[in-house]
Amino acid sequence: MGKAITTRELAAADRQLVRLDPADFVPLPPPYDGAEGQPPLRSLTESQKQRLDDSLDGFTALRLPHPQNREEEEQLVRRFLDGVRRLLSADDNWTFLGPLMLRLDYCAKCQTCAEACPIYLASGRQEIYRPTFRSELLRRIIKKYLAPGGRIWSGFQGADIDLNWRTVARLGELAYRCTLCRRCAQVCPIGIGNALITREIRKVFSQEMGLAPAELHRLGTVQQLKTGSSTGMTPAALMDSIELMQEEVEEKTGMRFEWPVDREGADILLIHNAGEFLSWPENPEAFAIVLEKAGISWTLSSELVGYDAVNYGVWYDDVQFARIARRHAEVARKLKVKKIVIGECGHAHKALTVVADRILGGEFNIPRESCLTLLDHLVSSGRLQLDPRRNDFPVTLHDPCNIVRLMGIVEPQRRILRRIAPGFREMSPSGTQNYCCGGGSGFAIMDGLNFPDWRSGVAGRMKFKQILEAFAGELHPSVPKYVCAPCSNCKGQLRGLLDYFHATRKCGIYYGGLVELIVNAMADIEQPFITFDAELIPAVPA
Amino acid sequence: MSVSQGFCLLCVAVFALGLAVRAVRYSRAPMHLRWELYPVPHEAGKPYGGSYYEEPDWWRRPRKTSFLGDLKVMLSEIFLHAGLWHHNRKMWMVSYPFHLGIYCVAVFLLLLAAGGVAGAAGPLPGGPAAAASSGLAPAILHYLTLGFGLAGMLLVILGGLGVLARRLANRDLRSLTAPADYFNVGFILALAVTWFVTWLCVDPSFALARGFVRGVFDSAPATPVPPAVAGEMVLLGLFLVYLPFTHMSHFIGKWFTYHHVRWDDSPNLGPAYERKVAAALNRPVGWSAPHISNPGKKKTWAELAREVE
Repeated sequence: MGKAITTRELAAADRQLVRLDPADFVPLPPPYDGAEGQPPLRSLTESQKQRLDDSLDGFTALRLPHPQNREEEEQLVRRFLDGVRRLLSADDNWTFLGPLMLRLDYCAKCQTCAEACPIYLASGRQEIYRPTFRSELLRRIIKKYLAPGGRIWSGFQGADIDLNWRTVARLGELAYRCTLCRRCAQVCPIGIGNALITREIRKVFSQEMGLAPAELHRLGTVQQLKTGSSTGMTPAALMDSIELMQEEVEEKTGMRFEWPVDREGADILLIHNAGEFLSWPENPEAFAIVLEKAGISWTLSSELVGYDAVNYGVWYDDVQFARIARRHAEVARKLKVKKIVIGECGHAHKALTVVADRILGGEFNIPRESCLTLLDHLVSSGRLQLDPRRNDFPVTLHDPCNIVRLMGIVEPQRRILRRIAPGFREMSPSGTQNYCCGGGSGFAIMDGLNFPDWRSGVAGRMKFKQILEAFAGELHPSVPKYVCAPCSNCKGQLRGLLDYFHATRKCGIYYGGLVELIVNAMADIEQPFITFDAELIPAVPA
Repeated sequence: MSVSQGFCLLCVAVFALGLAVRAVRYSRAPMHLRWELYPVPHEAGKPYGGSYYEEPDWWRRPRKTSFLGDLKVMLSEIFLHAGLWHHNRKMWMVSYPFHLGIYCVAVFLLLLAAGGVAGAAGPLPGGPAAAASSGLAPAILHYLTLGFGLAGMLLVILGGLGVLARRLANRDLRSLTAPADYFNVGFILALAVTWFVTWLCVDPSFALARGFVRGVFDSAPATPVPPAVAGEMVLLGLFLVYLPFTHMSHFIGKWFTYHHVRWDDSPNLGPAYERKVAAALNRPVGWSAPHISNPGKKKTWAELAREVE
């Protein structure tokens, strides 16, 4: 069990508050039950430590530089408090004021949520990762520094916290130790969601102080709005990429067809996470094949932002969120499509379909639908010729939090898998109770310094445990196994996780999307669409 | 009406006002962005946690909701604390009797008030014998009051001690517990013990307590009540004044956390939401980060959303 830390200790001087020891982490099943299950966690180098604050747990997501003088320290605290004040304002924070007030007012600190948190559990129950810990910090700061009643009343309510630049810096960093999976909220007897408070802290840092991880803000939403994609892919680069993918599809399947781009009046505007074009082109290729085979009227967009479903704002900044959501809707409106279908990207699902539902009014309120719903419809309707024997290898399903727990799309992907993958088995727990992959809330793309070690070693540990358990008894590398993760961010995390634990080489575990499995099962395509290591490709039964 | 009776009446008024202010504050909070969590129990036919988003072209289909689904979860949550039972059994073992005791005490207080009102309007049952001789209804009222009162006090004492012991003994619970949290449980325990001791020593049929309540509604000059009974009533009054300012009013908050956030999956279809969205986007924005930069809050959310930063 982790060391007890009080909220007061956050203000304490230079030392690193918590030192993680992999020996404390939750044990993994064989073959990771010994030292194999505990790859080392890298520390920052001395020169990095000289520049950046890592005083929380030795990792840094925000990459906050040490203040150079007292004035900078005081400014940091002042701006933080200004931001917290805005959180409580109906104009500045109409987006989440109501839920925030309820969360600040009613936590009974029963700690039921802690046992649901994959990060808290995986870390060996580190106090600082307890879902209530960071919420309580914000609550106590508000009670002591902003609420009426004076120090005696706030002290009676436990607000013993001292606010200095270290408290602020550690709290900001702590807001990036939660994947916003909201499993904690699901078990809260009072209905409190600590993840929202985490997000609100991120919001103060971004919207008031201009501080956010570079991958989310500067290289994320800002780049997306300016160049068209969070990957930096411009419209011209997109068209090149589409041309390459068309050629690849022809090579793999013999199918030659032009991908529709900017086709006005199409039934569907399909928006992928642009990371797919760069990292997993087989995913958009598989979508194109399925839609072509099913005879669907669809199009991609080459307008700025219109070809990247990413909306990182949903993790840290309402203004950036609104800007991107509106841009997506505007592109669809101009193309006069009947609906937007969101590709295999979990946070894009939740952002555009659900959260933006109360931002997109009038002409921008274009209907939005999940690709999983569409794919389920196509598979069930018999418009595709499918032979499940082509997917004759063990398959398990990862439920992306944003699509499943936060949006209620649970069965379509299962109906598809039950139909096309005879080796399908569930993880435990699954569905709305599933564990986050550990890459949620932007972690999957945050690759700076030593953060990936924390992400794989701690945040993704419970997911890795689930995967090993789902394939128990079949972990020999000669048996290729497929973790189906219909979400770009989850795939990014799985890529890192499997690398970190060398799980493909040691256990034959692969990952990929759902639509690739559908194409792999298509009876009228000769070659397998999914390729494992050459010698491991399973033979198609006669 | 005596001074203590007047004080208690005032406390009840403050209590009601305090809760009303809380409820109004939450219900008047601006429309927020959707942040629901599945399973949402009113999604008809989807007990596994599914939603209308599982249907193709969901916006064209009539929305199937089930009030019974909500009701089932609400009732099992209110009367059985099902969530805590499933996710934190050790806490349930102490918290449930504590809360069940509070429910019983709440019913007891209502019965006491009913007895007081009935007594003010007509004959008041003074004890078991008098109650039995006054007719069936007063007898039922009397025995129900006695039953709920005693059960409530004993459960509160038992559960309260359990909650306190668990919070003190368990490091996970202790670490973030504030002095106010101990004080709140202590206050409730003190109330239950005071009432129990008074019942045992002074007021075995609650006739004196009922008489105290009757005096509030009676136009006749106040009848003196023993200091122990007046004391327990004043302590109860103080607690009622204190309660709305603490997280103990979570029975109000819980309605909003569940119905207004966790289960609020209403899609933006139709003019009512359109109007709300337009009003929300018309609010001025004051955040100061460089990518927002809106000196003097001149720009609205709608204007900022049109900018490309």
